[in-house]
Amino acid sequence: MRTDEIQVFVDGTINFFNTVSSKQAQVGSPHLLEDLSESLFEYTGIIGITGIYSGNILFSAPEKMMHELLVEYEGVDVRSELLLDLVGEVANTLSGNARETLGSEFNISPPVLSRGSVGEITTAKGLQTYCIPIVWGEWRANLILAVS
Amino acid sequence: MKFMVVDDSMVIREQIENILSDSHFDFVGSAKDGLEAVREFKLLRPNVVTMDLTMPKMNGGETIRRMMTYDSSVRILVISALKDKATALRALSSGAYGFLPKPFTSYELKSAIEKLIADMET
Repeated sequence: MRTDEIQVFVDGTINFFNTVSSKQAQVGSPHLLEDLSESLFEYTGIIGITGIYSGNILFSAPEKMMHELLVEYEGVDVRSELLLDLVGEVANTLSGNARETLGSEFNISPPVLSRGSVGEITTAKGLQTYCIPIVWGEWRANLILAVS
Repeated sequence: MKFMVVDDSMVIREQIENILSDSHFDFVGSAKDGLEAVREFKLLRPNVVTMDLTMPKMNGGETIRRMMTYDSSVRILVISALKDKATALRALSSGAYGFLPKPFTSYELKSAIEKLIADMET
């Protein structure tokens, strides 16, 4: 995947935070991942991509960050059952970015959402996996790209 | 003016309900998938519907077509994270009146709905 294509996912994630909240999100230092589980938090959304590129794009965030982000939603009654829904919205945004950027020749799976079970989350083997931190307030989430 | 919200995300359903209720619209109900949406639509008879596209059981495009068959005067605003041109054009060709990409601000939602209402009245 080209750098400018990766940047679309980074911009999309930053735009999500900046649109729904009053605080600006920032991009941390990207790095290669050796062990996926080290970059995962309690809430994770995963989309799959097949086509010229194939692999997975993940957004993973700590519970407290998602809770604080949910507080920013106008009029929404904050409760834990909505946190996975909110991660799903971020993952849906990534899915929309993927479709817009990569075109219709790619198949993009609906997001799969996970709460807590870090050990069950895997990506396609043998791919270089990049982790791009998304810093929002005092919290940090990770945008993870494991795409050929 | 009665409005209904269709989205599989509870966060989005509550967000839209709260934003539009502040704008003196009359919230009549919501649905989390296309089948439920068509069933509720026939009972509630809203003037305006906000519609997600990617939903379980029946997608937004088919849901719009069924609603329009039942009542072609309804105005439907598609609100979706799938914001590529092809998806937007497909939604409009199904009968939707407008398209708002996710994520959105309350200002953007109110503006999109106000435009849709203004077009209804002219």
